Formats: sequence, C-alpha cells, structure tokens
Amino acid sequence: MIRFAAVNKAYAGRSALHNVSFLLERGEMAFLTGHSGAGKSTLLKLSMLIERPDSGEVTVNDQRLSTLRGRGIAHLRRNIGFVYQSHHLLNDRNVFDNVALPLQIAGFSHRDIARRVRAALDKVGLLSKERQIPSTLSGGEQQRVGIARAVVNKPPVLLADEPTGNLDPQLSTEILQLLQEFNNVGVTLLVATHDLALIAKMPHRSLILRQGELIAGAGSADAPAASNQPQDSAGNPIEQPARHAPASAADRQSGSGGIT
Amino acid sequence: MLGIAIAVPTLLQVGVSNLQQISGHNSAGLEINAYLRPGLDDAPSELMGWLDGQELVLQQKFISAEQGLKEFASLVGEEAAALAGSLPDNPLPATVHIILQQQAGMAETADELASALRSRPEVEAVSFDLEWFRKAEALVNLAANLHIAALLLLGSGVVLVIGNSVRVGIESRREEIVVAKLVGATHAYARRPFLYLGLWLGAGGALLGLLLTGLCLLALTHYISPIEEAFGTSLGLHGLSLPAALWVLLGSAALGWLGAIIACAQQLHRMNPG
Ligand SMILES: Nc1ncnc2c1ncn2[C@@H]1O[C@H](COP(=O)(O)OP(=O)(O)O)[C@@H](O)[C@H]1O
Ligand SMILES: [Mg+2]
Repeated sequence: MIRFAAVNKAYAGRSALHNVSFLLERGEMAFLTGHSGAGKSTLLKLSMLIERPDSGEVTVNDQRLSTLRGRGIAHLRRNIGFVYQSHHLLNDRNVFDNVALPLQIAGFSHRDIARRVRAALDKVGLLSKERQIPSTLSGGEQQRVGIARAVVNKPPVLLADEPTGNLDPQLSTEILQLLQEFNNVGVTLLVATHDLALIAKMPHRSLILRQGELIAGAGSADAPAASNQPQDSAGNPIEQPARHAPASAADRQSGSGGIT
Repeated sequence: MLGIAIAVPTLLQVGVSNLQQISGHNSAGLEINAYLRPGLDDAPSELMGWLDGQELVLQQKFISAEQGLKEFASLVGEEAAALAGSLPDNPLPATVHIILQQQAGMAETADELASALRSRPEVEAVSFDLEWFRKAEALVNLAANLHIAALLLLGSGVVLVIGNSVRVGIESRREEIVVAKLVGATHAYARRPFLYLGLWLGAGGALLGLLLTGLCLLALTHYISPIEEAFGTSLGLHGLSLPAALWVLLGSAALGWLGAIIACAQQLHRMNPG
C-alpha cells in the first residue's frame, strides 16, 4: 500500500531521509517513530506529494508518485486521509463545513455530503457540535474534527502526524483507539508519533527513524537497513507484527542523544 | 484607478470616432477635378456612370462651362468676369467635381483613380493634390494609432491592477487554499473563485469607467454647444453607442479574467502545504 524504495530527501543540502526503504501492506497499521527532526514528517509528506524525493521511488495505492503531476496529485490526496498535530481546521466556517470540504472538492452532491459528513461526525462523537466553529472546541475535539475530515472521503490510506501531540495521555489513548477503529475496517494506517508510552500499548509494528535513517521496522525483503538491527522485528512477516521490539528500540534510541 | 484606466481609452475611442466623423463630413481638399475636353457641354453619361461604379467616389457633380464661368464670376468679382465674358469663347472647360470617401490607404487609391481619369478620352486634365491626401490620411492614422497605443497601455494596466487585487485576495485566503489542496483540490478548483473575482472586478471597473466617460462627454457637450452656436454649425458630437459600451464591458471583464489567470498561475503554485 505504501512502499518506499531507497528514498533520499535533503533540505538545502542537509539530509532529512537517507536511503529509506519499507513496505506497509494493505490494511496494516504501523507507527513511525523517532526523535524530533528524525524525518517522520518528511516521510509522511513524501507519501502524499507535499514534498518529492531527491531519489528513490514512493508508491502509494499502487501509484508510483514520481509519475503524478497536477490533477494526479489532487486525486492521490483524495485517497489519502491526513491527520495533523495542528489540525489545520478553518475557523471561518463551522465543523460541518470543515468536514465537508474534501467532499465538495471531489464534487459530491449536497445530499451525499450531508449524509457522509454526519456519518463521519457521528463516528468521532461530535455530531452535536456540527454548527460550532472549530476554535470554540477543546483540543481533543478539534483533533477529532480533523480525523472526521480525513476519513469523510473513505480513503484507503490514513496518515497521521503526531495526532496526539498536544493532548494529555487519556485523550491521546482515545484518539489512538479511534484511529484503530478505522484500521479495523480495513484502512491502512501510518501514525507518526514520539509518544513511546502510547506505542507500547498497541500491538503494531514500529518504523524507527534516526537522523533520517530507518533503523528498525522496515518490514519486507527490500529493506536492507533494518535487517541487521538485532533488537528489531523487521525480519518477521508483517502479518504477525511483534509488539515488544519497537519499544525497546525506541528506548535505546532515546538515550542516543539530541537531534536538531 | 480601475475606472480611470477604462475611461481613458473609451474616451479616446469616442474622440477618434468623432474626429473621423468630422473630417469625413468636411472632406475639404479630398477631391479631384476632372477638366473635360472643349465642346463637351452636357454631362458625359459614360464617364458619370463609370464614376458611379468607383468605390472611392462619394459624390460627383458635373459643372458645365457656363456654370463654371458663373462660379468664377462670383469668386473674382464682376469686372474680371466681364473681362472673361468679353472673350469670344468661354475659356473655362466643363468640369466634373468629384468628392472622395475617406478610407484607409485612400492616398494610393485616389492616385490610381486620378490616373485612370487622365487616360479617359473625355478628360483633358485632372487636378489632384496627392500630398494633401497623404497628410489627411496620416492624421487619421495617427489618431487611430495613438488610440491603439493607449488601448494597449491601459489594457495592460487593467490586467495589472486586477491581477494585483486578485493576488491580495489569494494571499488573504492562503490557509483555506492550503487546506483545500491538502484534501485534494486541483489547481482549477482552487483558482475558480479568483477567476470570478477577476471577472467581476473587470466588469465593475468597466461600469465605473463608462460612468466617467458619460460624465466627461456630458461636460464636453456643455462646452461645445456655445461654439457650435457661434459657428452656426453642428459638430454633431456623438457619444458612446450601446454596442460599444457592451464591448467595453466585455473587454474589461475579459482583461480581469486574464489578470486573475496570471495572478493564480504565479501565486497558487507557491501555496503548497508543507
Ligand atoms: N521545509 C524544510 N526546510 C528545511 N529543512 C527541513 C524542512 N522540513 C524539515 N526539515 C529538516 O529535515 C529534518 C527532518 O524533519 P522532520 O521530517 O520534520 O522531522 P520530524 O517530523 O521527525 O520531527 C530536520 O532536520 C528538519 O530540520
Ligand atoms: Mg514532525
């Protein structure tokens, strides 16, 4: 579903991702972790063509992203839900209209929009707040509006960048459980987070980035960087993700010093 | 600003068309006199018919030798006329007086017409001032060229002004555009509202410009009518016709649309999420 093959990305000469390869299968859920500055956001941005790699190939939904231009990019994004730490909600319109935006862009009819928006808001438990302006909601509620907007299109892939970043542990767990529910119905999910305590609670693979290199969790045969990491589970078939390894790897990593 | 940018070329257009009108009515000098061979005292129907067929000819008038003498008399006074009259034969030839239509490239066509006249058997001589034709033509062309230059200059002014307004509009909605692009908006989708903005700005500017033009023409008419009275003539100043006004409206809206396309091409691509 999401495949990186030898992807490199540098910003102004400074490497942000170095030779990253991994495969995330259809319907799988995985965490993407590492220190601040390790390249998590960059990896997600490459997955929906907010950025382009300097070399290597990214494939999402069986589309090689290097081949996409203009409309192709727009249509790719309609098939990827994206949840942000800073929810990117528009405060010049109410919750309903925020969630409706992807559907309006995709050209759905008014009736379909109303039906799908209400279904998505119901799913995140905010149906009663559809007339409110996002800024009047709490942080956790705003994040859930962001999730509703990300899934309203029923995309096969959902990416989340620090979705719990501003939330307390209890709310974080709730958000993660919500995301898990989408995975349960078949949505492929990649969640970037540095909240190791949260990761430890869930039995999913972790892709671990350190200074732009994928040091664990690459998952499939074409991921050489991860295979020689003794403490990770990368060699395991991804259908049986091991839950113990990521936490220990991340623990080791947290001792490895500051990265800008 | 926008209104003025549209009013100026519109006024110029009115000015030029009036100028063409006036010089068209008063085609002094834009004429050919064909002097006929002696003895031809009736209008030579063949020649007159031929002239009728010429596109350039606005009017033709046969002046017999006697009429010519009378006109001559009224011009030079009785005494000299009496002198001429005392001659045994009327020294003046019968003449065909031809007034020409003003049109582009008329100097050359008039020259050809004069040559053709000269080679006709009825015609003894032709008086025709090519230089004068050239000057008149140059004057009309100059006005038209000035008008085109002003149109281009102010047209690009409209594009720039509207482009800039649209750019400000895009900037003020940056957040919305970025979010829309993130959830799958195409370039076409993102720019659509701004194209409409450009269109409306152009149309609105045109209405303002037309209003200004109308006011200017009103003022001009006010000042011109005493002059007309003093000279006992009507300059026949005419305003902007309805079709012309519609053209101004459409043209300006199109320029606004163009300005918006340019602004979007420059601005929207830079508004990428990230
Ligand atoms: N737009 C950018 N311009 C320049 N450098 C950037 C940009 N985005 C990210 N970086 C750099 O790339 C590296 C990885 O950043 P990022 O992917 O945001 O890491 P993370 O999300 O794991 O914190 C960092 O060193 C960061 O400073
Ligand atoms: Mg980040």
